[in-house]
Amino acid sequence: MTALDLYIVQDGGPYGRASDYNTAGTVATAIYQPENMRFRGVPVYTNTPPRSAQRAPGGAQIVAMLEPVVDKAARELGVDRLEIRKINAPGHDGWLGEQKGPFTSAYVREALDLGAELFNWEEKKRLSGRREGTKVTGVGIGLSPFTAGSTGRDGLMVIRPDGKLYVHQGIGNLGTHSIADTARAAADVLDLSWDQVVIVWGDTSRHLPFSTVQAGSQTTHAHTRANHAAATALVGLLQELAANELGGSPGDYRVADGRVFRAGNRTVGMDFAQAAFRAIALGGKFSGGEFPEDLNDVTKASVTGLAGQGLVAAARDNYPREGAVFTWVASFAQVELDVETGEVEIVDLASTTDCGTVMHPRSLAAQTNGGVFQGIGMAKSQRWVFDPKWGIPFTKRFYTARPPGMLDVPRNPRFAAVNQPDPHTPVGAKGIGEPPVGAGGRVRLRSRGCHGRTLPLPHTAHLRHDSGGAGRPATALRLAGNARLTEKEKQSGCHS
Amino acid sequence: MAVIRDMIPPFELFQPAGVDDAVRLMQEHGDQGWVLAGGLDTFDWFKDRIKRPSAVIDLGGIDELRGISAGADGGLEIGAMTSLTDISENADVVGGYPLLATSAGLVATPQIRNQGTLGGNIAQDTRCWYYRSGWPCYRAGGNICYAATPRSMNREHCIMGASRCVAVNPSDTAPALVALDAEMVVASTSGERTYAATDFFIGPDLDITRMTVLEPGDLLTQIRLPAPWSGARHYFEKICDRKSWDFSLASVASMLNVEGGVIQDARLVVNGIAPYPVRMGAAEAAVRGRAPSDETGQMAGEIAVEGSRALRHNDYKIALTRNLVKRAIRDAA
Amino acid sequence: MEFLRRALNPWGEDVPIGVSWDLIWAAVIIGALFVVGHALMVPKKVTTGEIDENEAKGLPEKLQRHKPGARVFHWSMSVAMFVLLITAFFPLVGIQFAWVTIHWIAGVGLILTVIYHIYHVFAKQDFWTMWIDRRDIDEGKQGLKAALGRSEAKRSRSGKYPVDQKMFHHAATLVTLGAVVTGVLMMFRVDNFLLPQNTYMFSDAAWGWVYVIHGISGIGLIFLVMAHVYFAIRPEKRWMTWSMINGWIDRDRYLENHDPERWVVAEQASAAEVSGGGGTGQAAVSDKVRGEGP
Repeated sequence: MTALDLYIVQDGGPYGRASDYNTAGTVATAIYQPENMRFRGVPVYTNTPPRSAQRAPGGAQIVAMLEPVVDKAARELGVDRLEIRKINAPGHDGWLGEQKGPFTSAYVREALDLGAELFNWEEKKRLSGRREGTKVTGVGIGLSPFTAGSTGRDGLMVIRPDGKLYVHQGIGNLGTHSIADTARAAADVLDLSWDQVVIVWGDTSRHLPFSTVQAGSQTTHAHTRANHAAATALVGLLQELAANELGGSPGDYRVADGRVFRAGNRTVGMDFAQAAFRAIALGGKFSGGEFPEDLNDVTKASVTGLAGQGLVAAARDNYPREGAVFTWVASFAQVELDVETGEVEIVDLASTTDCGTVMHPRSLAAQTNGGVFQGIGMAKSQRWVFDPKWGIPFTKRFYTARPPGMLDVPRNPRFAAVNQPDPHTPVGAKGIGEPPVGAGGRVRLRSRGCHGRTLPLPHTAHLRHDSGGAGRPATALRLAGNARLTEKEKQSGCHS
Repeated sequence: MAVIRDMIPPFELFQPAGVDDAVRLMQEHGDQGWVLAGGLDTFDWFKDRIKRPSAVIDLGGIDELRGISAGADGGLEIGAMTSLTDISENADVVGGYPLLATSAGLVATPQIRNQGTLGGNIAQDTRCWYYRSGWPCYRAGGNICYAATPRSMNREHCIMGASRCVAVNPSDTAPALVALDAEMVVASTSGERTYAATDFFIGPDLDITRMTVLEPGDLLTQIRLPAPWSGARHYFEKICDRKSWDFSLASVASMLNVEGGVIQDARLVVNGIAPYPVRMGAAEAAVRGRAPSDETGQMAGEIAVEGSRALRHNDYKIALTRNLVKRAIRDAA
Repeated sequence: MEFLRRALNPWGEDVPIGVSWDLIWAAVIIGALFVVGHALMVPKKVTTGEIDENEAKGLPEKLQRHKPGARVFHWSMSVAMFVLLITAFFPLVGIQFAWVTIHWIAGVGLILTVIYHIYHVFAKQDFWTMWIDRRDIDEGKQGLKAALGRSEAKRSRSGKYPVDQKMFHHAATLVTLGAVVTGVLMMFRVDNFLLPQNTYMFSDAAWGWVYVIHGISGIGLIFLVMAHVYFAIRPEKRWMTWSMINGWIDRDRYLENHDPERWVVAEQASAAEVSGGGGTGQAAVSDKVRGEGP
């Protein structure tokens, strides 16, 4: 991409809090690496209901805006739609934003290749435009990145006299498994069986560390790092405790299987229960009486609250990170559009991701597919509806808001991850929560071979009465092959 | 101060054991009484505190309102409280009236079909979100249709049959029953009367506050189906934004009697485009004596949408109706 | 009984949405009480005195009271009014039919008749004949005394229109104009081919008052029409009713009820002239009127 001129006007609602337009500009640079770019963003206060971020704020929108333009360019240039994305996608030396900062890692081409293989792109793309009866086939690709992690949070954990590791988590539990997955980083550092780990979460009365909000762009990355840091500190304390009790230097000791023991001689050591008792007896830094000064204040209070209950370790994520953490999702879809009813059925769907190290394959698949489905819903049916005169919302129930259901997506969506660790984070994991939305929304629209100027684009947008004046067109979209299209409509229509 | 919207206002609950008791209670409480069938229409109204009846008459304990049995002249009689699941899975319905079985099976979700009743699905109120928001529109006794203004959000509203109010009938089974020439049995304290399904549904021109002939005190007790057309072809299709838990943007039901490759008789009904299921009489007449072809379907579709008028956001419904009618002729099997 | 129907608009504001339909029955009951009360209290024709033969000299036997244009207006308006009242109120009392289109078309018809009437009054008739002056007030007082059986009631003859007719006319004018003006505004809320829909032309409250005025006017017309029909069929008034059908009154009625100075007959064309020589048929009607007269 030699040049990108991006001008975004953002309806910011009454308080103008959202900065989606700015994020959109950054994400635009991330996907296409334009050699030249002019970016203008105008957030506008409007007398409308308050806005708030949902999922991939700014990213989902810009993907929906730019991907069709890139497809059009591919068509004009005679370049395959997969290839044009691979040509423009960043590698590890890619950049983003006004300052042209680096990525920590970018396995984008790998994700695209993996997706193309999973989806069988070379074969499927030949189906695009095929018409059988009233149905037209379309295939498409959506590529969506989004920021995927923050740093500087704290890890906090305790080995109690019962010999178990209690990992205190400040993040919430939304059912995404991240509350467990990020605790596994500590278990891995301690080489501890997972059934010896207890996760402590809830409200601050349970002495929780300073954490990110529970969000896809934050949690996995931030808290694998924080728990990794705290677990590493815990290993240090165990080694020091063992050296104090059993002689030698801390470096002589290893930690595994719920014990700290002398390297080369597992019989010399103590189990975690014994370590906890000794820590309580020793006090000070071993049982939370002292703690690192760089901890966030919330964590300091929690450590104090836990003091004396076992071997307490707390640490701030001070790992270096050189670059922006971005996760990428590529989605490939095959759809069938009934030109008489406008109904679109997604008959095949495959998604791949570069999200660093895979922490939990099933959860990752659920997150990715769920995000893609949400994007499909945003593109198709899910919406806000307000009466323009009264400003009152109508889509207050599921049957009016219309998020997609299981029957609206393929029964067996396929999924794969590049599974290459991000080198700038110790566990190698990046967040997955946000980018699938843009990919899902885009791939559905692209599969239809058209790009709309408004979203959602319900299937009925394909149908327009040809009387030409009875009502405002529901959208700018027309579909070639519709039963009764005027010549003008046919000329302005998109073609799969 | 926060407005609590999930508390149902108090009411007196009656659980009659028979139809006679039910209609007596309904008569007694008049427009302050509310008939509870499956509850799927009812509780939204109650929780939103828009409908505040003083008495609720729960039909759940009236066994005589449930069940599917053989009717006179080879037809079927279906109790109004029979669940949509039972209807969609009943062998007699599936075998003799696949149109009804299909339409019942496409209502909302399996859970809702388990709880929802045929009578409730037929008699449910419109889903116009202006009306459902409790706004004082014509249908609610006011003096305005909020959905018919040049600025209204009316993608789901009607393209024909409007009279001040532009709400549509939301029922999936209603067009099938009209196409099947069903008969509705209504009980009240003054006795029992029957209506042809076509006449059971009324438009706002006749009474803007009702969608059916049912008035306070009237109870839909039974749906009678005549003997099925022998060898008839049928077609049902429901178009909505998603495949479950959605009301139709338009639905079509057709019954075609085809002999020698020629349509001898046809019943063609479209719902979701008007305040009542629309019997496409002119299209039916036009297709008689013709082959059920794409051309015939196209012609029927053109005739079906004659006189339709789009609102600001729903002109797609004209094309959709035209195409659905075409499919209902061409693809009936 | 409430006077207004009120509702909360989408913003929760309490606004009027129309007049209480209970007032329909109030108007019917008041109208019925008036009719029955009047029928009981005024059982006989008010005697106005003997005919002065001198006054009769030179007068034709038939005198035109209503020009054809006026009669066409009256009966056109009557038809429109009855259609309007039936389409407005029958559905409200439980007789359901598709009334809206009939109602607004009848309303348009009423408006056309009113426009014609206004033109006719100014261009073809003497506007001031319907004006209430001091003599009308005196006439009214005497008429009231006579109606109440007061012996001191003096003979009082009216101009072309008796004061009670004038009062009815003005009352009907007021409520009809109220219904017409508000009805025209309401056309902006009803799908029709004459006016574009403009639902939000006024605020909710303003629209509410439009509906209230329309309702009050309609309900007022129920009472007025009841009274008008009642008087039209009163035996002593039937000669006037017939004159609205055939256009003329006979000389005796004229002299008995009208003051020749206030309704100057020289300016009137005879019924024969106006009707183009009605001949025997008119004479027969005339006889019948006489025969049924009190």
